[in-house]
Amino acid sequence: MAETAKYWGVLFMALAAFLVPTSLIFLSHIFSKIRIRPKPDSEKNVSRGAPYESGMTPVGTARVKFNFRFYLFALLFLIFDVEVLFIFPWAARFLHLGFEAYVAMLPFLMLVLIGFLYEWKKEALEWK
Amino acid sequence: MQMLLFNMVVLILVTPILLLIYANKEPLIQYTSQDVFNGINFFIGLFILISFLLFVTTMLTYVERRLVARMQNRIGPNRVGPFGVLQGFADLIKLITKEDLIPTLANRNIFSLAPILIMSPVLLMFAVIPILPGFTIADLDIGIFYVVAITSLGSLGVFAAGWASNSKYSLYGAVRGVAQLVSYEVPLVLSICTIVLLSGSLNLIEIAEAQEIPFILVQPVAFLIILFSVAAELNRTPFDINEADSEIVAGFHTEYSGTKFALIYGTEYLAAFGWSLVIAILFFGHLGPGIGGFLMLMAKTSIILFLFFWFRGTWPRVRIDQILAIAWKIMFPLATINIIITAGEILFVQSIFNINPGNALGLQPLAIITIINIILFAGLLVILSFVKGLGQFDKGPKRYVPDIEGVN
Repeated sequence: MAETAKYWGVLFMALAAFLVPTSLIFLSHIFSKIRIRPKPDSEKNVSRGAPYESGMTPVGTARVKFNFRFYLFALLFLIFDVEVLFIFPWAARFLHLGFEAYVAMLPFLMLVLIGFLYEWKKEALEWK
Repeated sequence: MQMLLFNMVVLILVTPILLLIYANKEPLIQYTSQDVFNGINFFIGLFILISFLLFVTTMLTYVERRLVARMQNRIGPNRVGPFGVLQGFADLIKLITKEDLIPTLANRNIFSLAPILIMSPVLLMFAVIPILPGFTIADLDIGIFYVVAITSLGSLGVFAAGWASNSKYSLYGAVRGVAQLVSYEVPLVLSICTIVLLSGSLNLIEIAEAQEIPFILVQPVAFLIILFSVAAELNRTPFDINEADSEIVAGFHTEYSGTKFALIYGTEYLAAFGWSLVIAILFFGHLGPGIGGFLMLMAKTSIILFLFFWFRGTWPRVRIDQILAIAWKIMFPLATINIIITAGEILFVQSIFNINPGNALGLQPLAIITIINIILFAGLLVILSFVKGLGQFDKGPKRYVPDIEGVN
């Protein structure tokens, strides 16, 4: 009970964390209503609302293709982050668990390392 | 050294406010659900914490500009207020009263939501950090896990900002940023696991209290990995390709102006402060009671913050392939092997000193682990210097080499 009660604090912190940036943006809107800051006029002026491309007229759309290796690294991250999640509870209780836990974890870590070396050998980590 | 002291002094400026309110309350309150609903105390505490954080953020923008200016042999901002200390507030007022420009092609809703998505997780991170000993919004048992989980939400905001801007610079910045944030999370969390192994708890206060010897001595490798991973998570200089000014203007926040830019820009400093606090708690020993403990914690935090600012003043930026190579080819194997070695050492020490399973490691067992680890660290340094640093990982695109007679 005591542990779950603490999460009320997290909830209120979350509300505060949402309200702080929102209120700042809202404050800025109020400033525009009472003419402290200029109103946005990007609709009126074409070049003001255009995406920034070093002062040139923008060429084509910005929804361009990007290097597929970013996707590859995202996949790698997924695999290894799941591994990390598996390690966390083991690490937190390791002082209690002793030798058996070590023996149980070692093959898993070795498996991950061997898989990692295989990826390295297959040049999944290269950027060419 | 002078600069370091200066940094600390600025950070500690805000202490009197906290002193006034919490001086008579030893031991400080631990909040329960009843306090949340009955006591006004909780909300006063929350309000103080948030104002303290915003104050620190504003001051840090000034501190960094001033420090980096000194390192580059400039003077830096010195006009607004004594020594220019009010520069941050002047910038904030200027940015809030500026026009809030939204590009016509942008996805308006996501564009406006992205700064909130970037800032909220970083503010939420402070819910579990014991800034004043005993004064935490929520002293969770899974503290460090919560920090890791919450801060990884930030990459969502980065990508939302970059995609919704509908600008090529923003998109490239966002894509690079997400690849980098995601890659450095793995060694970061693995190294945190080694600390959890040694302390046997995920609670930040318990981790701090488990440090009979500061973990920076017990785990130098984990400290370095976490330091550089955090530098990458914060887009600090050696790893700041996603907002590299000379390549892609300002990266994912190219199109932002006014208040939204202020939010994104401030969040970087807030995150730097938060992660420095976490590192200080994880590695620099006990927290200490009362106001003295708070001052010590701030001093430790300033050292880490100063390191980050120092990186900015010293190091050039590395390429995207080098960044990912450092994360995956050096840090990840190192962190995994470090976990295996540390767990083995704990078993070894437990059997030598006859520590019952479940008991914390005392001073002498930690000292033995420290000695072994420092020897291993020295060996690692020697090996790394033999393989000539990053040279062997440099397999990027071939550079243009001018064909001059006598050179090639």
